[in-house]
Order: sequence, then structure tokens, then C-alpha cells
Amino acid sequence: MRPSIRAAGVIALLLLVRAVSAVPAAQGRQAAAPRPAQSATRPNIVLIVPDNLGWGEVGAYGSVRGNVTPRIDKLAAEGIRLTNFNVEFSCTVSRAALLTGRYAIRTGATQGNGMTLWEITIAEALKTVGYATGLFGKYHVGGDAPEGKRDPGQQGFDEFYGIPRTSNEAQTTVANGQQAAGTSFIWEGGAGKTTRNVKPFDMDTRRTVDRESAERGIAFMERAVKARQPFFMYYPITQIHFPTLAHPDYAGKTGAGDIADAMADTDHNVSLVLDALDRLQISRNTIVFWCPDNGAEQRRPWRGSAGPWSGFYNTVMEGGVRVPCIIRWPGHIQAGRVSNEIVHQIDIFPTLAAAVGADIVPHDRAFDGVNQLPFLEGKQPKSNRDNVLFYANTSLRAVKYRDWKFHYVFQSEPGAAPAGSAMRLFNLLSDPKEESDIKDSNPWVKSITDRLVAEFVATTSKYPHVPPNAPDPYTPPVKRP
Amino acid sequence: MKRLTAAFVLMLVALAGAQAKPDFSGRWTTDPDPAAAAAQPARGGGQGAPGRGGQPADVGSGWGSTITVTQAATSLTVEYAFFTRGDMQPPLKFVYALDGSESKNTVMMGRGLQVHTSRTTWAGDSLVITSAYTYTDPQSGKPATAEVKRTLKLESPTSLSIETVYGGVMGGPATTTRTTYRKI
Repeated sequence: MRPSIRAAGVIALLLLVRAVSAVPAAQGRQAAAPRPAQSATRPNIVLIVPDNLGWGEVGAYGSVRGNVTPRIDKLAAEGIRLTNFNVEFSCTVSRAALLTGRYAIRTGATQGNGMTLWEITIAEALKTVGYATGLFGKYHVGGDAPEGKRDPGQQGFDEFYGIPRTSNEAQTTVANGQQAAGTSFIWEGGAGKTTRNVKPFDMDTRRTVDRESAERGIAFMERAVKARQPFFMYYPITQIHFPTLAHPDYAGKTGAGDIADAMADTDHNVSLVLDALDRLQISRNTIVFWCPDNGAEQRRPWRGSAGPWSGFYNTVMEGGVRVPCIIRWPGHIQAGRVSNEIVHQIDIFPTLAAAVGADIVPHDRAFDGVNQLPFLEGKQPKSNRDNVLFYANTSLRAVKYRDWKFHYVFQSEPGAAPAGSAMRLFNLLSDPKEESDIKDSNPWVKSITDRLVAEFVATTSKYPHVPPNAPDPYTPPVKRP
Repeated sequence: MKRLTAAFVLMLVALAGAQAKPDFSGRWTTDPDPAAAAAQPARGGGQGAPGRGGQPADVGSGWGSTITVTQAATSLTVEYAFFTRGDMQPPLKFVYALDGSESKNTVMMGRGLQVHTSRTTWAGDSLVITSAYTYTDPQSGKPATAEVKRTLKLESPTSLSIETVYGGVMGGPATTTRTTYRKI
């Protein structure tokens, strides 16, 4: 899309938002809450997304490493704990889906090239209704060389700090797509600002980047509160992606190994953010999401735990795509609630749109997320979603329908050849580890999952997928009559 | 004399008809023939090439990859190992009447007794087994059935093909697969 067309689209979106936001959908719910130190018209949003973090790493989900996450566990007690929260299978596609509310296959996102600037992110949408937006941590949807081309400042973030790509660069300091050592940096920038390399991203700064990001995120929140501006603080933590090396304050502290140390470190950083909300007296007017990008880290010696599930990230086994998710919004979401209803990370965007009371989701493209606010607020017992499609980049791998999961291609280990020539079916309640294929005795399920796939594919005739590695500016093909 | 001749002719016709019915008995597998595989260049099944040996994955015949078929005058029995030795469970066993009467088979796969009823018919030299699988409609919570129709045909004495048509439910499409087993 040419810049002028994009600008016109944003203006149109702004006009639409102004019209819709004239209806004060959220104000009634705020009436009972104590007046925060900030404008109460719209809630603040803190989206905390740790990396490669499996179900078995969190106390509230049955941690296998002892009591190393007390603050995250307390957050779970203060909000809802989802036990069937689904994500895409790998870092880049997960973040693309999270930020756009679309299955990543629609965005064409790839690790090497990121996603096009045509995509509208949560940050861009929230900016149209007056939010301050900041990203502090890992980006990884801008491709190998995002600086000035596909950086967060061009996708709706007023400011950002952290790493452009991913954590394993610290082991070599070679940026993905580069050859020479010393090319991997911690960066900072923002909308309309020149991106700057702050310092090398190496084995020392790998340990400290999350703490620094938290501190900068807190400073960002403080500024927004002072300016009486609602904010969106996106805190994509780099832990516990390999190399799983904790802040010096936590290295060796738990006695339970690097991952436990990193979880204790993460817990501390989360506590810094949550304590800041309390100190700023905005906790009641702030929605906090805590949900990893994908399932358990797989690479030794930092192999994570998927808890009761099989598999790791980079597979669509439950261990790769079913992760902890905690959401807190005092006065709106009942404390201590637990639900096994199906929710997906792409639902966060439209749910936030509903929470802020503005129709800020894009309508000029296929959009897969569904508004889960009525479910989260307890106004309806069921989620608005009963199925999830799982792609591995462009390959359909599985469909979850209620408690059933049909694998069109079964691959239990990352990088391994798919096992056998048979598709497989599991019931996730009677077989949570996806071990016993029961498609032969339940031949009806595939008909339903086939229909769900067909319905998804049918949308692409009107809204074709952005091709993988598509360059900017991207212009969608003319719609068929 | 004429009556005897007619009876003899009828007997010959009946005999010929009976002889036309193939016998599916034997042990069959979909696994590649090791001898043939050894003669072929190796084919990987990595990402983007789903299925063993690069073949597209499918739902198969619904009877597993290696089956034992026992055919008698009035029944066809299909057995295959589903569980591992450590599970200490017998092979799955399905018996189908060949006289057109209804057969009922039950499996226990950890979700209670799962029943399907079947009837068989001959279509020339092919055997058609039509089965109704019971399940609970997830939307209404009411009992429902899904039809599966298998057509067995001997392509040669060592090659058994099974076409399986899985009927559509709840607005979903049907699926048809063709599985070729070789005799072992």
C-alpha cells in the first residue's frame, strides 16, 4: 500500500472510531471503581508476553521446578486463569498473530522478513483512540533487518526498546541474516524517530535486557499517567528463550537450574511492573495480560516443561501451542476464576477493542479474532470460540474442535519427519498427551474439521493471504467481483 | 432327464457364482515392501512433505496399516494391533456377517464402549461393508450416527484395495480414501 493510501485508511479508521467511541460502553462498568490517578475513560493495557514458556514453568499451572513464580501466581489468583489458551507454534508467527488478530498465515509473516507494514497492529489501532503505546522487549516481526524498514515505530509504537529479533543471537552476537560477529544489538526508537543501536546484544546483556525493558516500560507508564493518557504497554520478555540465562541477581539463586533461575527473574520483572501499577494507583483501571508467545523451549540444555502436554514449540502438539494465560482486570474479571474454554491469542485484539469501547479492529481484511470480553467478564459461560486452526507457517497441521484435535500432519518433535502416513485424531480430555489415535472409532470428527478448514480457505478468495516475504509497500489484490 | 439337466446347469451356475467370490483372507500391510524400498532412492518426509516416504497423509481404511483378514463362508473377520505390547490389550477385532444380516462391533478406546453396526453386500467381486458409527452430536448433545462405507477388492492375489467413504456430518464434507495393502 502506498503511504497516501495507508494514511487515508488510518484517517478513515479514526473517523469510524470517533463515531463508535461516542457510545461509552466501558464507562458504566467503571462507575464502582475508585477514581484512579488517571483519566478513567479508557483502561490501560499491559500485555506481558514471555518467550518459549511452557505450561510446566508456572506455579499456578503446576510448576515442575518448585515455588519460583510467586508474583505470577498471585496475578493468577487476582484474575482468570485460562487452561485452554492457544497460540501459534513459533515466535514470529505467534507475534504476528497476536499483534494483528489474524492467523499468521494471512499475514505472510516469516522470521527472515517479518510482516508487511500493511498489517494493522493493536498498537496502531489503540493509537487511533488516543493511547500512548510502547514496546519494551523482543519484537521479531520485522525480519532480519527491520531498522527503519519494519521497526515497531512503523507499526504503531510511540517508543520501543529491546531486541529486534531473537535471543539466541546473544550466543554469537551475529544478527540473523548477517555473517559478522558484533552485528546484534539492543535497539531503541519510536514513531518518527531514528532507530539507534544502544549496545551489543551478547551473553551479558542477554541477562539484563528484560530488567532494563521493565524499567523503561515503567518509566513509559509513569509518563503516560502524568500526561493523563491511557497507555498500551507491550512487554515481550525474552526469557525463557535459549540461552536461558538469568539476570545476575538470579543466576544460581533457586538451586534448580537455569530455567528456574530465569523464571524467578521473570517473576521479579513482572512484579516490578505490577507494583508500578499499584504505586501509580492504576491497577483497577488496567487490564493485564500474561501469556507466552508459544509453548515450551525445546533446545537443550534449556529444555523446558510443557506440564501435562506433549511436545514443544515449533510443533502444534499441545505442548507447543497451549500455554498459560492469566488476565486481570479488577472489577470486571472475577478473581480466582479458572476456565478450560478455548481462547486464542488472536482474540486479544478484538477483546481489547471491546474493553476500550471502540471499533478499532480493521474491516478491510480477513480478521480471525473474536471478542472474548463477555466470556471473560462472566456475562456468558462459554467462550466465543470452539475451534482453532494450527498452521506451521503455510502448512495446515491440525484443527482443534472443542475437545477434539485432528492432526492432518502429525509431527511430535520439532524438525522431525512427520510420523507415519496417517492423519491422527485425539480427544484432549481422555488423551491429553496426544498418544492414542482414535480416528478409526470416531470417523465423524474429520468431517467437521474439514468444514472448518474449508470455511477458512473460502475467505481467501475475497481476502487473499499476504504472500510470505512480501515486500513493502504491500497492496492487496483487487477483490473479485 | 430334462429336469436333471436343468438342475445340473443351475448347480454349475451357482458354483461358478460362488467361485467368483474372492477370498480376502491373509495378512496385509500398507507398509512399503522392503525389497522394493531398497531398490528405490531414499525419500525424506521433512517439513512440507507430509507422510511417510513423502506420500500425502490420509485417514486410511480405518483399520490400521497391518491387518489380518479371515474369511469364512458366513463371516469376514478383520483384526489389527492397535495397542503396544506393554498395554497388554488384545488386537482390535471386527466380525462382519456375509449373509446380509446386521453385525455389531464394539471397541474400548478409553471413551467407553463405542459401537458400530454394519451390513455387507457383494458388488460383483467387491465386498461392500456399510457401517454406522454412533457418537454424540457435540452441538445438540443428542446421539447421532456417521456412515462409513468400505469396498474391498482384490486387485491381484497379493494386492488388496479398500476404498473407504467417510460420510459427512454437521454440514461437513465426506472423505474418500483408497488404501492398498500388500500381502505379507
